[in-house]
Amino acid sequence: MAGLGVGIGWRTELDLTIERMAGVEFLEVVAENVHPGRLPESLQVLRARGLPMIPHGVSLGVGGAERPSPARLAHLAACAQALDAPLVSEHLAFVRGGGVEAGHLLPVPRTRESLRVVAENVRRAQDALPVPLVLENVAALFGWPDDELTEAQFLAELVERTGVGLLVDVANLHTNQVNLGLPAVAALDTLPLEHLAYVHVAGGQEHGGLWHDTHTAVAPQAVLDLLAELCARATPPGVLLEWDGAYPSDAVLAGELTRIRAAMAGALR
Amino acid sequence: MDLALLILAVALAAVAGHITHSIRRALTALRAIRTSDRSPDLGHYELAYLAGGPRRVAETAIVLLTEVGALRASRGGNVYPVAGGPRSDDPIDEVVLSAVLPSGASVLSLREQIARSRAMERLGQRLTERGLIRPDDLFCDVDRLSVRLRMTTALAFTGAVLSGLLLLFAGTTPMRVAAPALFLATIALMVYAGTLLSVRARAASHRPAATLTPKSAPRRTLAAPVPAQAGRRALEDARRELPRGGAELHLSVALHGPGRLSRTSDLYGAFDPAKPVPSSPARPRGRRSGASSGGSGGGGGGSCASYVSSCSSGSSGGGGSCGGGGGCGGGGC
Repeated sequence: MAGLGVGIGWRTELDLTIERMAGVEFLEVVAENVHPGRLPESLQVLRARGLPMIPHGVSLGVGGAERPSPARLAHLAACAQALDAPLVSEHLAFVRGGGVEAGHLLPVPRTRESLRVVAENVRRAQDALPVPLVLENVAALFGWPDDELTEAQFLAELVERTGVGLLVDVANLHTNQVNLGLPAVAALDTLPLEHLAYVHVAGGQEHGGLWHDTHTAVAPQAVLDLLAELCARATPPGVLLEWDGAYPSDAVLAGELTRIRAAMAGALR
Repeated sequence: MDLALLILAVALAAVAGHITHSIRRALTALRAIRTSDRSPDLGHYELAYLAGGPRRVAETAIVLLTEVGALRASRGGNVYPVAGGPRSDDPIDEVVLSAVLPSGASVLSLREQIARSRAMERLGQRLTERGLIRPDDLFCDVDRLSVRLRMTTALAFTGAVLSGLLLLFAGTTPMRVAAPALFLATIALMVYAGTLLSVRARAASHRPAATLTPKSAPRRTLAAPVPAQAGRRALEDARRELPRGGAELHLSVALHGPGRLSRTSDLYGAFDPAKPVPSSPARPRGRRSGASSGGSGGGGGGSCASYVSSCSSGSSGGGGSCGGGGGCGGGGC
C-alpha cells in the first residue's frame, strides 16, 4: 500500500478550511454524500492538486445476509473512478435486513457461519470495484450472544479468505474497550496489520459510563495512545482524522493533525 | 355639465394646493432636523448603517464574525457556527450567531434575516436619535404626497381630455366647453410642474430611489438611509482614515460594501445573488471562484435602486412608484 500520510475526512462544511490547511496529505469522502458526475468544486480543486481521495461508504452492509446491492457497488465504483481513488473503504457492519434499515453500523454476528456469508459478500464487492476494498472495524454498543470470534479474529479470517484490506479505527477500538470491555491492544495484536491500508482517529464523548463515538470532539489521549500502540506494531500507510459536526476552529483541527503526527512519531507517552 | 366640470376643477385645484403645501411642510421639517457639528465616534455597525443601511450592517457582521472565527464560510455561500468560537455581547452579533444553526445558513437569507431584526431596527433608531440619519417617516410622507400629486395630475388631464371631446362632439356652444377645458388643462400643468419640483427637491436631499411596498409587504425599510450632515461627515472621515486595502476586512465592507472582498476571502462573491459560484478547479488556492466583478457593490449596499422602502402605511398601496425620486447619494452607490 502506497503511503497516504496524514489526512482528514472531507466535509462540505470544512471545504475551504481543508483547502487552505497545511499538512493535509489525503482525504476521505463519504461516498453517499457525493454524486460522481457532479463532484463538489472543492473536491475538484483538491484533486487537481494531486491529493489522494478515498470514497468511504457507510451503507453497503457487507455484514448482512443479503448480497451487497449492485447499485450501491456501482456508486462506490463510480466514486472511486471520479476521485481517481487508490482504494474504497467500507465497514464490517450489519446495516439492513428484510428491507428494514438499521440506521446504524451494527456489529456483525461473529460466527463461522456468518463469516462464510460475509466473505462471499466481500468477494462480490471486490469483483464490482475497480480498486481494492478495505473494511473498517465498527464501534459497538452491544455484542451478539452467540459470537464465536472477536472482531479482530473475524477480520483476520476475512482478510485471509478474501484478501480485503484493513481500515483500523482506533477510536472504535477504544469505544469497544470502554463499553464492552474488549481489550483494544489485544485487538491490535490479533489484526493482520500487514494488510493495513489506513487508520481512523476521532474524538467522542462519555455519558453515563458509555463512550459515544460522536466525532465531534478532540481525540482523547487514550485513542492517541492506541494509535501509538498500532504504530509500534506497523507503519500505517495513512492516518485520517474524522470530524462530523460541531466543527471547531481551523486551529483546533490543525492541532489534531499535529497530535496525530506526534502520536505516530511516538513523541507522546 | 359646465357646473360639474367647474366644481371638479376647483376641487382638483384645492387638492393639488393642499398636497403641494404638505410637501413643502415635510421638506421644511427635513431641513430643520438639528444635527451636531461634532464628528461622533462610531463603531463598525453604525458606519455600515450610515453607508449602506441594514443590509450593509448584516454583511459587515457576517464578514466580521467569519474574520474572528465565530463563523466558518464554505463554498456555495453558506456559513456555519464554529464550535468553541468567540462569542459576543453585541446585539447584532447575537442575532447573527443565534440565526446560524449547526446545519448552516445561506449568507443571502441570513443577510435578510439580520437586516429585518429588532436589533437592526434599534440601531437605526439610535442613529436617528443622535441626528446622524434623517428619519425615514418624513421621507415616506413626501413619497406618499408625491403619489397623490400624480393621481391628481392624472385626474386633471382626464378632465381636460373629456372637455376636449365635448368640445368636438357634443354640439354645444364651443366657448361654454372650452373655458372649463382650458381651466382644467392649466390646473393639470400646474400640478405636473409641482410634481417635478418635488422630485427635484427630493433628489437634492439625496433620497435614494425607493418603492412603495404593497400593504402586505413588511413595513421596514432596508434602504440605505439618508445621512444627516453629521452622519455624512462621520462617514467621510471614516472613509478618509481607512487606508485602502490595509484595514480590517469588516471595516472595508462596512464602508464600501462586499464588493471589496478579495478573491482570497472565504466570502468572496457570497453576497452576490446574481453571480453563482462556478466551478474553477484550475484556481490554485481554490477559494471561492466566480466571475463577480470585484468592484461591484454586490447585492448589498451598493445597489440602492433595488432596496424597498417601508413607507406603505397610509399610502395608496399597490406598489406604485414613490414619485420617481432619483439619486442614491446617501449611501455607497
